[in-house]
Amino acid sequence: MALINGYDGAFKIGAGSTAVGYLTEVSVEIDQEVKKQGPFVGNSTISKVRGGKDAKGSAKGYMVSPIDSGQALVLSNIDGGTNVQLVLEVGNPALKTLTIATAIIGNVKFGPKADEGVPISFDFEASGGYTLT
Amino acid sequence: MSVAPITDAEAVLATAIRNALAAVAGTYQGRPQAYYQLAPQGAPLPLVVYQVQSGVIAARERVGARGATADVTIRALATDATAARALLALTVAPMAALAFAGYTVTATYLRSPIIPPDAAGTYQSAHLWRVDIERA
Repeated sequence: MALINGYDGAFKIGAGSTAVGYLTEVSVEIDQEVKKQGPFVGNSTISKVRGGKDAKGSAKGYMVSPIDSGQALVLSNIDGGTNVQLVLEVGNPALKTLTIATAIIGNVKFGPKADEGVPISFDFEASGGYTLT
Repeated sequence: MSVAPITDAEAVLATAIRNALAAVAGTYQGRPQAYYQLAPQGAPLPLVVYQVQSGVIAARERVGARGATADVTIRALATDATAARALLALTVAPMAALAFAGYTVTATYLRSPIIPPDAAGTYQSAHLWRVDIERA
Protein backbone atom coordinates (compact mmCIF):
# COMPACT_ATOMS: atom_id res chain seq x y z
CA MET A 1 0.00 0.00 0.00
CA ALA A 2 1.31 3.41 -0.88
CA LEU A 3 0.16 6.96 -0.87
CA ILE A 4 -0.92 8.29 -4.25
CA ASN A 5 1.17 11.16 -5.51
CA GLY A 6 -0.84 14.30 -6.05
CA TYR A 7 0.72 14.88 -9.43
CA ASP A 8 -0.33 11.40 -10.59
CA GLY A 9 -3.64 11.93 -12.30
CA ALA A 10 -5.35 14.25 -14.68
CA PHE A 11 -8.19 16.69 -15.01
CA LYS A 12 -9.74 16.76 -18.46
CA ILE A 13 -12.34 18.90 -20.14
CA GLY A 14 -14.56 18.51 -23.16
CA ALA A 15 -15.55 15.69 -25.45
CA GLY A 16 -11.96 15.47 -26.66
CA SER A 17 -10.70 15.03 -23.09
CA THR A 18 -8.25 17.90 -23.27
CA ALA A 19 -6.04 17.90 -20.18
CA VAL A 20 -6.26 21.10 -18.18
CA GLY A 21 -2.64 21.95 -17.48
CA TYR A 22 -0.82 23.84 -14.75
CA LEU A 23 -3.29 22.95 -12.02
CA THR A 24 -1.89 22.67 -8.52
CA GLU A 25 -5.07 21.44 -6.88
CA VAL A 26 -8.36 19.80 -7.84
CA SER A 27 -11.07 19.03 -5.33
CA VAL A 28 -14.35 17.20 -5.87
CA GLU A 29 -17.24 16.80 -3.45
CA ILE A 30 -19.90 14.14 -3.89
CA ASP A 31 -23.13 14.85 -2.08
CA GLN A 32 -25.86 12.44 -1.08
CA GLU A 33 -29.09 14.22 -0.28
CA VAL A 34 -30.63 12.94 2.96
CA LYS A 35 -34.29 13.59 3.73
CA LYS A 36 -35.86 13.28 7.18
CA GLN A 37 -39.18 11.60 7.76
CA GLY A 38 -40.77 11.98 11.14
CA PRO A 39 -41.41 12.22 13.94
CA PHE A 40 -44.97 11.01 13.61
CA VAL A 41 -47.88 11.09 16.06
CA GLY A 42 -47.16 8.30 18.48
CA ASN A 43 -43.74 7.63 17.00
CA SER A 44 -40.91 9.95 17.91
CA THR A 45 -38.25 8.34 15.77
CA ILE A 46 -36.88 10.08 12.75
CA SER A 47 -36.26 8.04 9.65
CA LYS A 48 -33.97 9.15 6.88
CA VAL A 49 -34.14 8.30 3.22
CA ARG A 50 -31.73 8.93 0.46
CA GLY A 51 -32.54 11.61 -2.07
CA GLY A 52 -30.55 12.61 -5.09
CA LYS A 53 -26.81 12.52 -5.62
CA ASP A 54 -24.76 15.42 -6.79
CA ALA A 55 -21.17 16.37 -7.49
CA LYS A 56 -19.33 19.65 -7.46
CA GLY A 57 -15.78 20.77 -7.17
CA SER A 58 -13.09 23.30 -7.78
CA ALA A 59 -9.62 23.58 -9.25
CA LYS A 60 -6.80 26.07 -9.07
CA GLY A 61 -3.49 26.61 -10.73
CA TYR A 62 -1.72 29.28 -12.69
CA MET A 63 -1.83 30.62 -16.21
CA VAL A 64 1.03 30.30 -18.70
CA SER A 65 2.01 31.74 -22.05
CA PRO A 66 0.81 30.59 -24.50
CA ILE A 67 -2.51 29.92 -22.79
CA ASP A 68 -2.92 26.26 -21.88
CA SER A 69 -5.50 24.66 -24.19
CA GLY A 70 -7.44 23.11 -21.32
CA GLN A 71 -7.61 26.39 -19.42
CA ALA A 72 -8.75 28.07 -22.64
CA LEU A 73 -11.68 25.63 -22.79
CA VAL A 74 -12.59 26.43 -19.18
CA LEU A 75 -12.72 30.11 -20.07
CA SER A 76 -14.58 29.65 -23.33
CA ASN A 77 -17.18 27.39 -21.73
CA ILE A 78 -18.10 29.82 -18.99
CA ASP A 79 -17.93 32.71 -21.39
CA GLY A 80 -20.08 30.93 -23.96
CA GLY A 81 -22.50 29.56 -21.40
CA THR A 82 -22.06 25.99 -22.57
CA ASN A 83 -22.13 22.79 -20.55
CA VAL A 84 -19.10 20.58 -20.77
CA GLN A 85 -17.80 17.16 -19.76
CA LEU A 86 -15.23 17.04 -16.97
CA VAL A 87 -13.15 14.04 -15.94
CA LEU A 88 -10.96 13.69 -12.87
CA GLU A 89 -8.51 10.80 -12.77
CA VAL A 90 -6.71 9.97 -9.55
CA GLY A 91 -3.51 7.96 -9.82
CA ASN A 92 -1.42 6.98 -12.81
CA PRO A 93 -2.74 4.69 -14.16
CA ALA A 94 -6.08 5.95 -12.92
CA LEU A 95 -7.31 4.19 -9.77
CA LYS A 96 -10.51 6.21 -9.60
CA THR A 97 -12.19 8.21 -12.33
CA LEU A 98 -14.99 10.65 -11.77
CA THR A 99 -16.82 11.65 -14.91
CA ILE A 100 -19.31 14.48 -15.00
CA ALA A 101 -20.89 14.16 -18.42
CA THR A 102 -22.66 17.49 -18.13
CA ALA A 103 -20.98 20.05 -15.95
CA ILE A 104 -21.60 23.72 -15.51
CA ILE A 105 -18.59 25.90 -14.82
CA GLY A 106 -20.10 28.33 -12.40
CA ASN A 107 -17.20 30.55 -11.51
CA VAL A 108 -13.76 31.41 -12.85
CA LYS A 109 -11.37 33.69 -11.05
CA PHE A 110 -8.03 34.83 -12.41
CA GLY A 111 -5.76 37.83 -12.32
CA PRO A 112 -2.14 38.84 -11.98
CA LYS A 113 -0.21 38.93 -8.75
CA ALA A 114 2.89 41.01 -9.22
CA ASP A 115 5.21 38.58 -7.46
CA GLU A 116 3.43 35.32 -8.15
CA GLY A 117 2.32 35.06 -11.76
CA VAL A 118 -1.34 34.75 -12.68
CA PRO A 119 -3.34 32.33 -10.52
CA ILE A 120 -6.55 30.88 -11.95
CA SER A 121 -9.29 29.02 -10.13
CA PHE A 122 -12.72 27.78 -11.09
CA ASP A 123 -15.74 25.99 -9.63
CA PHE A 124 -17.94 23.46 -11.36
CA GLU A 125 -20.99 21.38 -10.61
CA ALA A 126 -22.73 18.45 -12.20
CA SER A 127 -26.05 18.74 -13.95
CA GLY A 128 -27.62 15.30 -14.18
CA GLY A 129 -25.27 13.29 -12.02
CA TYR A 130 -21.89 11.71 -12.40
CA THR A 131 -20.21 8.33 -12.71
CA LEU A 132 -17.50 7.05 -10.41
CA THR A 133 -15.49 4.10 -11.64
CA MET B 1 2.30 16.20 -20.15
CA SER B 2 4.31 13.75 -18.08
CA VAL B 3 4.60 13.12 -14.37
CA ALA B 4 8.09 11.66 -14.72
CA PRO B 5 10.63 13.84 -12.91
CA ILE B 6 13.03 15.85 -15.05
CA THR B 7 16.10 14.11 -13.69
CA ASP B 8 18.40 15.67 -16.28
CA ALA B 9 17.37 19.17 -15.23
CA GLU B 10 20.93 20.12 -14.26
CA ALA B 11 22.25 19.25 -17.71
CA VAL B 12 19.35 21.09 -19.36
CA LEU B 13 19.90 24.17 -17.24
CA ALA B 14 23.70 24.22 -17.50
CA THR B 15 23.71 23.68 -21.26
CA ALA B 16 20.92 26.13 -22.03
CA ILE B 17 22.59 28.93 -20.08
CA ARG B 18 26.09 28.23 -21.42
CA ASN B 19 24.84 28.22 -25.01
CA ALA B 20 22.88 31.42 -24.46
CA LEU B 21 25.75 33.30 -22.83
CA ALA B 22 28.49 32.01 -25.16
CA ALA B 23 27.92 34.83 -27.62
CA VAL B 24 28.56 37.55 -25.04
CA ALA B 25 31.23 35.92 -22.87
CA GLY B 26 34.17 35.57 -25.24
CA THR B 27 36.34 32.44 -25.46
CA TYR B 28 39.36 30.98 -23.68
CA GLN B 29 41.12 27.80 -24.77
CA GLY B 30 38.37 27.21 -27.30
CA ARG B 31 35.58 27.32 -24.74
CA PRO B 32 33.06 30.06 -24.10
CA GLN B 33 33.92 32.02 -20.97
CA ALA B 34 30.54 31.28 -19.47
CA TYR B 35 31.46 28.72 -16.86
CA TYR B 36 29.15 26.52 -14.83
CA GLN B 37 30.02 26.63 -11.14
CA LEU B 38 33.75 27.33 -11.43
CA ALA B 39 36.07 29.11 -13.84
CA PRO B 40 39.25 27.21 -14.72
CA GLN B 41 42.49 28.24 -13.05
CA GLY B 42 44.13 31.08 -14.96
CA ALA B 43 41.12 32.03 -17.06
CA PRO B 44 41.50 35.70 -17.99
CA LEU B 45 38.96 38.31 -16.97
CA PRO B 46 36.32 39.30 -17.87
CA LEU B 47 34.30 36.12 -17.65
CA VAL B 48 30.92 34.83 -16.51
CA VAL B 49 30.28 32.18 -13.88
CA TYR B 50 26.80 30.83 -13.19
CA GLN B 51 25.69 28.50 -10.44
CA VAL B 52 22.56 27.07 -8.90
CA GLN B 53 21.75 29.01 -5.76
CA SER B 54 21.75 26.88 -2.59
CA GLY B 55 22.68 23.88 -4.73
CA VAL B 56 19.08 22.85 -5.25
CA ILE B 57 17.02 22.03 -8.31
CA ALA B 58 13.48 21.35 -7.14
CA ALA B 59 10.57 19.55 -8.75
CA ARG B 60 7.65 21.75 -9.72
CA GLU B 61 4.59 19.59 -9.27
CA ARG B 62 1.13 19.99 -10.72
CA VAL B 63 -1.82 17.71 -11.39
CA GLY B 64 -0.69 15.45 -14.21
CA ALA B 65 2.72 16.99 -14.80
CA ARG B 66 6.06 17.74 -13.22
CA GLY B 67 8.65 20.33 -14.14
CA ALA B 68 11.78 21.60 -12.44
CA THR B 69 12.88 24.94 -11.04
CA ALA B 70 16.07 26.44 -9.68
CA ASP B 71 17.41 29.81 -8.70
CA VAL B 72 20.54 30.59 -10.69
CA THR B 73 23.11 33.29 -10.02
CA ILE B 74 24.84 34.81 -13.04
CA ARG B 75 28.07 36.54 -11.99
CA ALA B 76 30.22 38.70 -14.24
CA LEU B 77 33.84 39.00 -13.10
CA ALA B 78 36.18 41.73 -14.30
CA THR B 79 39.12 43.85 -13.19
CA ASP B 80 36.92 46.85 -12.45
CA ALA B 81 33.32 47.42 -11.45
CA THR B 82 32.31 49.16 -14.67
CA ALA B 83 33.52 46.30 -16.82
CA ALA B 84 31.76 43.77 -14.59
CA ARG B 85 28.49 45.67 -14.81
CA ALA B 86 28.84 46.05 -18.57
CA LEU B 87 29.41 42.33 -19.08
CA LEU B 88 26.51 41.45 -16.79
CA ALA B 89 24.26 43.78 -18.76
CA LEU B 90 25.07 41.78 -21.89
CA THR B 91 23.79 38.58 -20.26
CA VAL B 92 20.25 39.88 -19.75
CA ALA B 93 18.97 39.49 -23.31
CA PRO B 94 20.35 35.93 -23.76
CA MET B 95 18.66 34.85 -20.51
CA ALA B 96 15.33 35.66 -22.16
CA ALA B 97 16.10 33.22 -24.96
CA LEU B 98 17.15 30.01 -23.21
CA ALA B 99 16.64 26.86 -25.27
CA PHE B 100 17.14 23.11 -24.99
CA ALA B 101 15.66 20.50 -27.34
CA GLY B 102 12.56 18.87 -25.91
CA TYR B 103 12.10 21.41 -23.13
CA THR B 104 10.84 24.89 -22.54
CA VAL B 105 13.34 26.81 -20.42
CA THR B 106 12.36 30.21 -19.06
CA ALA B 107 14.19 32.62 -16.81
CA THR B 108 12.59 35.21 -14.57
CA TYR B 109 14.71 37.95 -13.02
CA LEU B 110 14.52 37.95 -9.21
CA ARG B 111 17.12 40.34 -7.79
CA SER B 112 20.72 41.48 -7.91
CA PRO B 113 22.99 40.47 -5.03
CA ILE B 114 25.79 42.90 -4.24
CA ILE B 115 29.19 41.24 -4.06
CA PRO B 116 32.22 43.20 -2.79
CA PRO B 117 35.52 42.94 -4.68
CA ASP B 118 38.03 40.43 -3.40
CA ALA B 119 41.58 41.11 -2.25
CA ALA B 120 42.97 40.28 -5.69
CA GLY B 121 41.02 43.15 -7.23
CA THR B 122 38.36 41.08 -8.96
CA TYR B 123 35.06 42.91 -9.20
CA GLN B 124 31.76 41.09 -9.54
CA SER B 125 28.30 42.07 -10.63
CA ALA B 126 25.46 39.56 -10.38
CA HIS B 127 21.83 38.82 -11.15
CA LEU B 128 19.70 36.09 -9.59
CA TRP B 129 17.23 34.38 -11.92
CA ARG B 130 14.57 31.76 -11.40
CA VAL B 131 14.89 29.19 -14.16
CA ASP B 132 11.90 26.94 -14.87
CA ILE B 133 12.12 23.82 -17.02
CA GLU B 134 9.08 22.17 -18.56
CA ARG B 135 8.73 19.44 -21.14
CA ALA B 136 7.88 20.98 -24.49
